[in-house]
Amino acid sequence: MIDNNRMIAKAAIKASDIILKKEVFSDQPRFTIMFLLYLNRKIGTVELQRLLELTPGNLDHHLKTLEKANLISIKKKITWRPLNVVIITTEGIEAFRNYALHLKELLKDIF
Amino acid sequence: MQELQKVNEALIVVEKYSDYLARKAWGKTLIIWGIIVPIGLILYFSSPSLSVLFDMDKNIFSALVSFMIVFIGIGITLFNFLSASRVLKTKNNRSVSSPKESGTHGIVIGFIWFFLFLLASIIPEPYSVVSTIWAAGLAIIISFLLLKYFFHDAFPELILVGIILLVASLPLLIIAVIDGDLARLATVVVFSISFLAGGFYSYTEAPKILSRTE
Repeated sequence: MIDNNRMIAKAAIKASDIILKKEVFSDQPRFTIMFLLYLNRKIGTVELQRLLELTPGNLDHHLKTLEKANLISIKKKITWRPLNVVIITTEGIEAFRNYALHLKELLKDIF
Repeated sequence: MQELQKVNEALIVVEKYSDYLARKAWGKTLIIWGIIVPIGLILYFSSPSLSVLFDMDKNIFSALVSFMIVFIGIGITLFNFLSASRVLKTKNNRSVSSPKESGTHGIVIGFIWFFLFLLASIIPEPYSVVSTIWAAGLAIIISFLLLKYFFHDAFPELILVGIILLVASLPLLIIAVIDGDLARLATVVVFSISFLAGGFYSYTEAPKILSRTE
């Protein structure tokens, strides 16, 4: 009985987590940022800004949303110029993989 | 349908990013070769005096220098392209090179380089120095043509390096007839300038890809 309750609680947490992550990924720039990070693990904010054609403020907003959801971390890197590097977290990799699988299922229904 | 649009737009961005990484990898590779090849050639040409300093046989010293330069160069080249390849592998079919095709590129291009340098090695003095420039210039231009027309990857920095090498080989040929030592020094400078020019061109062109409109 206790085990059953635990399993139900775990499933509920997982479901709410998926809903939360789906909300985070529903936005086009955030989805693209996560896609790029899923493939390359890290990317500079300057490159992201140019790729996504976003203003610095707009990019910052999307990055903060992803950081708050614990999907990415931002680190300062000192090279010949100061650079902020966005790195995907282990949780981010897992969440994006699950979301990609969910998308795959959705798209399978369309075709 | 909205989801499909989202994935499609993300794929366009991924493709731009993969092109950017490829250009940067080429840029880094050319700059590295532009630095290490002249250093290697200077050490190689100075092997008679340097081998005495290190108390080594001249032939062993020059072989060691050549091995180290090739080892470092190939190591850094592989590192550059492998770092970029994680995204390159995901490019769509329009310009993608599958891992199998990439392997074929490498083998074909490697064979051409080996064959041309083998031919260059049989050319006698005083033209042997210039023959390495011909071999390198031709190998680079053939690599560019193969990548562009057979494997559909265009890297204009290669044609720039090849043209600089071949154009510079004409005055080098005259210098080689007059003064062999000066020709060697000029060869080192030409190698360095052409590879650095190609590398910096690639580096300055790469960020433009990020803002490219599809």
